[in-house]
Parts: sequence; structure tokens; C-alpha cells
Amino acid sequence: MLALTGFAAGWHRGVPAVQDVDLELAEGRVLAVLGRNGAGKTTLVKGVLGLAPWRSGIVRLDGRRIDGWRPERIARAGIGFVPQGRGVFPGLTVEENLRLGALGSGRRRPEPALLARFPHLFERRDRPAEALSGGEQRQLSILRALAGRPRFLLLDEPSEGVQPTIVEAVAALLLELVEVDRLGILLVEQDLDLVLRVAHECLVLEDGRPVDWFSAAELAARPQRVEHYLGL
Amino acid sequence: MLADLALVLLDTANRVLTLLLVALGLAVTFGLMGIVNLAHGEFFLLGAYAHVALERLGLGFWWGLLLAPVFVGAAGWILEVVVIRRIQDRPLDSLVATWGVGLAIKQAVVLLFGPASHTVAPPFATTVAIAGTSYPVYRLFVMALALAATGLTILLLLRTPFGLMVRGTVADRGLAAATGLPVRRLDALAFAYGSALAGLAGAATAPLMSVDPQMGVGFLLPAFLSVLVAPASGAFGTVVGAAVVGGSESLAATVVSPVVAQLLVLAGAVLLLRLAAGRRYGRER
Repeated sequence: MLALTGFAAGWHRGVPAVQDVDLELAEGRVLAVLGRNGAGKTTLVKGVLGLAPWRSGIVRLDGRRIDGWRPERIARAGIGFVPQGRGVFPGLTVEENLRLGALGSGRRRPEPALLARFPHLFERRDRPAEALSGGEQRQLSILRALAGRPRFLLLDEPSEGVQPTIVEAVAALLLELVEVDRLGILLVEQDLDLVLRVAHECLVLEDGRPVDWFSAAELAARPQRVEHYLGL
Repeated sequence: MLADLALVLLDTANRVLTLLLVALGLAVTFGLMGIVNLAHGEFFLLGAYAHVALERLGLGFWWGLLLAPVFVGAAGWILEVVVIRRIQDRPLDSLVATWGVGLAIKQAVVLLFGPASHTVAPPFATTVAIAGTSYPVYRLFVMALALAATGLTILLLLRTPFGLMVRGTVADRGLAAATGLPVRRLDALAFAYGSALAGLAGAATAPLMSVDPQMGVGFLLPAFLSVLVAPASGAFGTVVGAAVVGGSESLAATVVSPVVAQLLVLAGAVLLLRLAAGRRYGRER
């Protein structure tokens, strides 16, 4: 269980960029974090990972406090990260990117089955990561995070700027990770179709604070509830 | 005539490879990690003096050559942990701090060993006949050592998990940390390795020059130039950079005085960097 209590992180115009966040993410569940640009979604994720300055509150992983830990220690504790944008190591090949994911968790090599999740990446394993298309780089970023065999995965807008076929493949993988591998996923996303497809619950942030919380079923029944927050 | 040409070529190769040995450490700390370490020349100095000290302790030449880089690598580790990592994001501060550390090392050497120069006897004082000229075997040994250290560094960076993690950290530090890579330990290890290479260069070249507190100064600028004009970061690019800087300096010194040769190379490097920066700026626009 990944749990945040009264969590605040980052800094924006003299106040934390995100604050008063309480949430619980269990293994085998997907929590979507929604909100407009600048609402604090990325800061929330980076704050949990130790990449944005922690301000106050508590972060617990299986009951153990991890707030204030360095990012590499948090990653090794079992939290994987797929950042916004490409999220790959430029200048390194596809295979080297995956090896780094494994090395980050103390393994020498990633599991051979990992590349089977996206077979076209296996064919390009000797290519520099930056030579891949944007969508392929996003897929590689997810595999790189999975190479560390995390129990929780934090994804920051994996569908942004990616063609629909890749979003579909990412959605299928996320469902498999949740249902088969029992990963807990925190999904920052603006694509409501993807959210409806994979999420169990949704948290809405506005100006750095949680303003609404509902189930995916409620979202499916009344999408205008969240469209209002997203300004759609 | 052939003997004269062979001597010029051998001296040029010697200058290039000796410079490569010094620049290799900078290729790691400056070229890869982006740390402007003005104490690199003093790490070179420290390697030579460590060799002098270890010989005085009766350990002999080969133990001196082996242990001096270990000692300088440890000094580099301490510098990274105590100073560099606290100011890594502030280039101007790291410039001033490492300059200060360099001054402190130089003064410590003067206090411990005195301002006079010292000598280290080469393990073999023989010469070998090459194309009609006789050339000191120890100079050939230093050239071979430079090539071996370059090969080892390339292997370390391209073929080991450590090298891969260092390249990953250099490519994207935040992502490396979020992937679980021990970025701080990698910084310290890479910096220690670069410093150890400077120590190795100092210890290996000690028998070829007088060991005095100023010996690092002459190598610092050409070593930085070698890394700066290199077409790519890392050991491969530094080989080319050292060949351009050391080669042109050595060849120019056959027709003009060594000081003028150094000035010409400096002017050429500045021009080259200016043109390269112009091209880069043009691309970005």
C-alpha cells in the first residue's frame, strides 16, 4: 500500500505547488489523477518520488515512511516512474535503457520476457533510444521502469502526443500489469478514454489541492463532472 | 634525414600520448561529468610526488607507479564528497573552489617536499634503435601505458555495468535517480577514476621531467583544450583532441620556439571553438 497523508511538495509563488493530499493506492488498483495544466499533478508524482522538494505530510510504503528519502532509495523500495515526455536515456540504445532499469534495482539484466511486451522494440534493441518515434520512446520508458520490477508504477501523462494505436497498446499493458502482475498504478492523465479504460478511482487536483474524488464507474456515468474540471 | 624525421614523429607521438594520459582523466570529470576541475593539474602533480614519496619509503618504481594513482584517486573521492557535490550545479563556484583546492595542494607539496625539484629514476635507462635513431625505452613504455589506459577507459565506459550507469547518469540525472541508480556514489567513483588517471599520468611521466610544484601547470591548459576540441565526449573523442592539440604543438615546435608553438595552438583552439560554437548556435536558431 502506498499512502499519502497531508502531503505537500514543490514550491509555487510562496506556497507548496501541491498540498493537503491524502490518498491510498493498493496493489492491483489504478488511481487516476486529473486536473488542468498547472494543477500540481506532475509535482505530486515527483514529490512522492523525491524528485520535487518535500514540504510536509507523510508518505508510507507498506507502513514504512519514505518521505524525505533520496529518489534512488525510493525507486529501489519498489516505486517505478514513467515521466512526462520521452522518459528515455538519450545516447543509449534500447537494450542499454532496459539494462539501466534492471541495474537500478540491483539486477544485472532485465528479464528476457520484458521486450516481448512490445515486440517491435525488440527488433530495434540496438538502436539509440532517441531514434525511436515518440510513442515507441514512451513504451520504452514504461519497459525501463518495469525492468526494475516495481510494485507501484507512477505514470505522468503516458498518452500525451502519442498516436492512438500506441495509447491502445499502453492501455492493454497497464490492464495486464494491474490484473496479472497486481501492480498499483498512479496515472496522471488528461485522456479521459484511457482513464475510463484502466482506472478504478479518480482524484481531481485544482490549484495544487484535491477538490474531488470519485470512482471510474461514476466518471463513466457522468463524464461532464470531470470535463468541468478539465475545462473541456 | 630519415633518422631526423623518425625522431620528430616519435617525439610528436610521445607528446600526443603523454597529453592523452593527462587529458583522459579530464575526459571523464569534465568531458562526461561537466565538472570544471582546475585542480586536475595538481592531481597530476600529486601523482608524481606520491611516486617520489613511495620510492623514498623504499617501495621501488613499480609499486610507486601502481599506488600513486590509488592515492590520487582517494584524494579525488574526498574532493568530490566534501566540495564538488555541494556546488555541482554552480559552475562558477566549482571553478573557484577547485582552483583553491589546487593552490592548497601545491602549497602542501611545497611544505612537505620543499620548493626544489626532485627526480624519479626510470626503471630502464636503455634506448632502442628505430629507423636509424635511438629512442629511450621508457618513453615508449609511457606511450604504451597511455594507449592501454585509453583502451581500459573505453572498455570501462562501454562494456561494464559501472560505465553504463555513469553514461545513464550523465544522460539524464533525474531519470537515473528515479530508476534507482546510485547517482551520488557514481559521481564520486567516476570523479575518483578521473583523478586516478591524472595521478597515473603524473607518476608515469615523473622520470621524464623534473618533479617540482609547477609541473602540473604546463599540462592543464593543453589537456583542457584536448577535451574541448574533441569531436565527441568520452575517451574516443579525447584521443582525437589530444592528437590535434599535442600533435600540432609538437610539430610547430620543430620550426618555432616551444612557447610560440603553444601560443599558436591556443589561438588555433580558440578559433576552432569559436567556429564550432557559431555552427552550433546557427543550428539551434
